[in-house]
Order: sequence, then structure tokens, then C-alpha cells
Amino acid sequence: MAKKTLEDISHEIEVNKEVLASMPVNNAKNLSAYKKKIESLKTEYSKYRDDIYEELEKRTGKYLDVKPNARTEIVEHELNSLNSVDILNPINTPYEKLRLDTLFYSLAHYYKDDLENVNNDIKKAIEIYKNVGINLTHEDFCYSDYAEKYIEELTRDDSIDRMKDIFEDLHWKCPDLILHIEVSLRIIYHKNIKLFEKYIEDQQRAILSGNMTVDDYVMKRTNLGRELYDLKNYDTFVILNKFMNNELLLNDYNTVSVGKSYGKFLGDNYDISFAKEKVEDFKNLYNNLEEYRNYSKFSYVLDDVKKKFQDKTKQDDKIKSINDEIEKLIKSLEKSYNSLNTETGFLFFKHKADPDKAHLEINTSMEELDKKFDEYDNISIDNQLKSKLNETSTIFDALWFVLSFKTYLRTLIKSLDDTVTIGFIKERVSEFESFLYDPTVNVIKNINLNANDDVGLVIIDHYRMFNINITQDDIADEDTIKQTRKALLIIINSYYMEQANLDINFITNLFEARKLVIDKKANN
Amino acid sequence: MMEDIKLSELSFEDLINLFNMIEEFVNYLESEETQEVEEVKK
Repeated sequence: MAKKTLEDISHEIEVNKEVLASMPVNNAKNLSAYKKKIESLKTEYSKYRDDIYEELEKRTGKYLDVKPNARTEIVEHELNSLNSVDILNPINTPYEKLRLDTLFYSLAHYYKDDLENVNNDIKKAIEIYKNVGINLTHEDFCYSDYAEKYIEELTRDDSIDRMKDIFEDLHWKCPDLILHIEVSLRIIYHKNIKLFEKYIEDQQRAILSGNMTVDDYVMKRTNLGRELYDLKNYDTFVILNKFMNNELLLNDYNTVSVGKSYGKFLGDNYDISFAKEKVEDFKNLYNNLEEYRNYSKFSYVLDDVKKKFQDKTKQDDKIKSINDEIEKLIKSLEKSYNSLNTETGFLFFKHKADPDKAHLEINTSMEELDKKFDEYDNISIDNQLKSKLNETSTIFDALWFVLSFKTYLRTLIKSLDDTVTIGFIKERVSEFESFLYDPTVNVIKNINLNANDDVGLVIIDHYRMFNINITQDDIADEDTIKQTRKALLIIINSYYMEQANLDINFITNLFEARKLVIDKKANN
Repeated sequence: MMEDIKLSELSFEDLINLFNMIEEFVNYLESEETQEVEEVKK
């Protein structure tokens, strides 16, 4: 039998409609015959429809139920097990490695209406000290009886409504209550620095089992990160999903649009097979432009490092003198606290210190200590910068240094605009961190800190060697970089779509079929 | 009739068109059925 076409089926349907139209329905007998015919056609065609639906469901399922690449989960798992870069950081101290700098910064800039976060930060700090081997109780906060009382209550029952009442009560008596807690935690750290260092050494030994070095660890992490990036961006499942979620638009991927994108970088008379061989270069350029965007955003950070680096004077003596002042202030604080709680004098002349006077002294010492700790941090960071960075350091090394000392980074962010909120600063720190942790970052790892190279030009020149043309205009600002990257993404995605035999018509039909399947399922 | 068409050999587009064509005919049959019942009731 000759193969039927869709036109044949369409014709058959029209014939059936004509047959029905010609059937008389003027009496019960005729009507019954008419209904029987309808019934029989309905049964026949409903079955055909169901068969076609089954075929559609089978085909859409094959593409729409594509599972994420099995390797994704394995790589993610491996990467999660390599999450100790902070601990292994060879530049900073346990204070930064354990992120105490960030916790204390939060405490120093708390919002009164966000007591839950304040309490969580205090509990996190207590937990970190516990891991180090210091089991803090309220008695360890004995430098301030208000701080001591608050910690006593917090460790007894931290329910927020109760703590709000306690905070209100104590805050009324001592407006610097949270500062007292923060400074007390810093004093305890200061007194136990050796324990913290020992803890970090033990942790590092445990993380670097076997013959693995820190460089091996970082390299392994970067390679896995790059693999995961590819799996999460250029896998068939991921690309299809992006079209389904409208993250990618079908119109951007028609032949004209893809051709235009290739033409932008390779000229109008590009050779398509040559163009396809360049996919890895296009991927690298796509990542390099994001790196450049971030680099430009944080150029002020690099400028400050360079300025500090040029001034070679180290302030070792100053560090020692501040350290001595801190010790002195701690002793004075202990003395004020003791005078408040112990009686002096003899027999009938025994008396405790004037509480108002003692509290005033405690408060003054706390404020001074807070300033001294900040001063210590800043000079110490400055000294570290001069000893950790050298003539062979790259731009990445310099930025990594700043990330290692977030106190420095926060100061720089604030220096741009003194009115910015803590939320804004935290957001910028997090962006800076994501930038430097991005496994695709590469250009700034290859440019010397002192080279004074224009990073944008370095990128442009590099790709010209591969006959890929980008201009200064393409990377002039955030918007143009975004547009240039979009054109690159069209090239990259269309390459991977072709590899997976996904053309744009196929995806359009796939979506229509999916809609039919979904509608039918909803109606059943 | 339909037995003469091998569904697995049809393109996605043809399959969708065929589905829509037959779905439309089944809907037509259902409406005819209802309409006749209404007329008999009258």
C-alpha cells in the first residue's frame, strides 16, 4: 500500500465530515444512525489521537527528561570536600582564617532591630572558640558585668523575645553592650592566640593528607571548578532548560543571528569550519570579559595596594608598641572590673568602688581597646602586604591579599563613599570574593602587579593573535561588555546545540509538543 | 487508514500537525454529538 501523507489524512477527515453532513437526521431512526456514525468515527479517531500523543510523549520525554550530566553531582561533591581554602590561606592569621574578622565587624556594626543576627554572630564566635578548645562561659566575659550578664542569659535560653527584653534592659544601662562583648571576645583571642595557631596547624595537617601541598589543593579545586562550570553551562540538558525558562531566546539563535555573532568577531566573510574550531577561544574570551568587568569594578582596590606596596617602610616597632598598649589596657580593664566586685579597706572601712566611676572606666577602656585593636589590625595588614607581596607578584596575588584581609577590603569599599550601608559593604565583599574564587579567572594571574598594563588592551591583543577581533568599544563599560558577551554566548551555545543535534526548529517543535503533552495531562 | 502511517518515521512537526488535525476532528465530532442531542431534546 502506498504511504499516506498528512494531506491524505486531511482529505479523509473532510470526506468523513461530508458524509456526516449528508446524513438525514429528520426522524429518530435517522438520528440514531447518525449518532452511531459519529460514535464510530470518534472511537476510531480518538484512538489515533492517543497513539500520536503517546509518540509525542515518548519523543518529548526523551529530550525534556534529559537528566543533568551524572558527572555534575560527582564534581560538586568533590568540590564541596575542598572547601578549606580559607584555612589553608598562607597569607593571613587565624583571626581571618576563621572569619572572626567578619563576625566582629558585624557585631561592631549591628542594627538594634536585628538582634537575632547579633545573637547568631555571638553564638558562631562561641562555637569557633569551642572548636579551638576554649569553652567560653559568661565568666569569660568578666571584663564588663553587662556583657557577662548578657552572655549568661544568651547561653541559658536564646529565645528572641526573651533576649529582646534582656537586651533592652541592659542596653539602657550600657549603650555599648555589644561593643563590650566584641572587645571581650577580642581580648580572649589575644590572650589565646597560640591555641588558635595550633588549631589552624592541626586543621591544615588534616586537610593536606598525603603529599598534597596547598598549591596542589588550589589547583585541584580550580580544575574541578572549571569542569563544573562547563557542565553547568554547556550541557545539553542545561541549554534546553535555559530555552524553556526563557533565559535563552529562540530568536537569538536563528541562522541570521548566529551568523551575525560570528561575523562580529571574525569579519563578514568568515569560514564557518574555521569559526567552529575556535569555540574554546570564544569560551575563554567570554570568561576573560567577565574577569575584566570585575577587575574594572574593583580597580580602586588594586590602586591602593600598589600605593601601599611602593612605600616600603615596615612598622614593626609600631606593632610592638600597640601590642604593649593593648596589654596595658587589658590590665586596667581587669583592675576596674575587680574594683567593682571586691571590697577594699579594713573591717568597718571595707567598701566597693563607686559603681558609676568603675563603669565609666570600663567603658573608656573598652572604647580605647576597640580602637587599639583596629589600629593593630591596620598596621599588621600593612606590614603583611609588604612582606607577602614582592616584585614577582601578579595582580591576582595583590587582590587575593586584600581578600585575605577583609578588614582592609571593607575600609577600601567605605573609602569610596562614607555613607554606604553595612549591607552594601557586605554585598561588595561577597562580589569580590566570588570574583577571585571564580575558577575561570586567568588574565590577572598572568600580569605583574607593577607592569602597569592596560588589562583590557592585553585581552584585545591576545585574541587578535587568534584572529578574533574585539575593540576598545566592545569593552568600554558594563553595558558594552554585556552585549559583547551575549554575542559570544550565542556562538558558544549554538556550537554545543549543534553537537547535540539540537537545531532551532527542533527546539521550537519540541516546545510545542511539550505544551500539547502538558495540556493533555492537565485535562485528564 | 492511520495504520498506513508509521508514526515513528514522522518528523516532530508533522506529528504535531497530525495531532492537532485529529484533535480538531474529535472535538468537531463531540460538538456534533452534543448539538444533535440538544436538537432531539427540543
